[in-house]
Amino acid sequence: MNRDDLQDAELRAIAQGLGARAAERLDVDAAAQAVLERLRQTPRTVHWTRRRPVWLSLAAAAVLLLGTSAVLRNVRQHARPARGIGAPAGVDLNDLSPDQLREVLSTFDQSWEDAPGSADTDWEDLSAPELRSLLRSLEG
Amino acid sequence: MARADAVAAAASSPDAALIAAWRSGDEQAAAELVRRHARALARFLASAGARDADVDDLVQETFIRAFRAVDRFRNQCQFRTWLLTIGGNVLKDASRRAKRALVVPLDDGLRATDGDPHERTVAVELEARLQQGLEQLPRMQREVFLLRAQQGMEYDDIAAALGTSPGAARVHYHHAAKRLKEHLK
Repeated sequence: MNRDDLQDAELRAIAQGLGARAAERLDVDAAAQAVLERLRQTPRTVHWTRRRPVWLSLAAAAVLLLGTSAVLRNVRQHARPARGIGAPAGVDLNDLSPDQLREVLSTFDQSWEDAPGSADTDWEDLSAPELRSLLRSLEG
Repeated sequence: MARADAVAAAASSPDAALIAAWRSGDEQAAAELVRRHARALARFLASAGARDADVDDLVQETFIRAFRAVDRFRNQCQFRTWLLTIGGNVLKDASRRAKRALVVPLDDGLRATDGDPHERTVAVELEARLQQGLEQLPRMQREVFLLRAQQGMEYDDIAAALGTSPGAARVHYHHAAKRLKEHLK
């Protein structure tokens, strides 16, 4: 037996001693009963409980997606007129230049098109007071 | 009396018969598998770095996982080898959850009073150093080493359980042994 073999045998001997105390302390009958008890508590439901999150997650994601798109659609439909009838919060229309007023109006072009009697109006030609008046009238 | 007969019958059955019986819902078969392999599993877990205080729970958790996944066991290796590799996964998950360093149970060993005190102390020190060395190994090397050196498994069996080739398992073992010998010098 060469030195390597001897070392290998020593190594195995030491390895075989590892964990011996933990093994001795283990009450195998109690462990068996505890395992059976836990298996009884969740009898064969593991496949169910493991699969459930997968389809449940997909279903939840689908519901969330549909709900979110419905809410967004709803918000858009209601938000456009609401945004269209006013300048940005905290801004006094008197402080805005004609170009800025047109810019505000241009962001609400959809609302503008929907506004009663506005279909044939070209607001690019309106003066600053007229634009302010128009925005104030849209504010209600 | 019927229960005692069932226990006796289970005790004399090979693992494969017990596994088949458990698949059919025989609880005594499962209990016998626990009695048969729990100590080897406890030794493996403790050697792989489990704290002594955690070994009981880890043993139970390993058997629970094994019994629930028993449909995936196709006799590709010994049941014990398969069980020990599940134990390795359970330990890894537990260590990750606890985020704690693996502990060498040196104190318990030093409290042992059996045998010559000096020899016992030397043995405990060697075990502690070996365990420290094991903790520094990659997981695959550590598990192959323990399955081979501690549990006496064949390379074919180890390879089947760990999803590798016997040649690769042999290489893992030799790398592990080389590093552990260096560690023990």
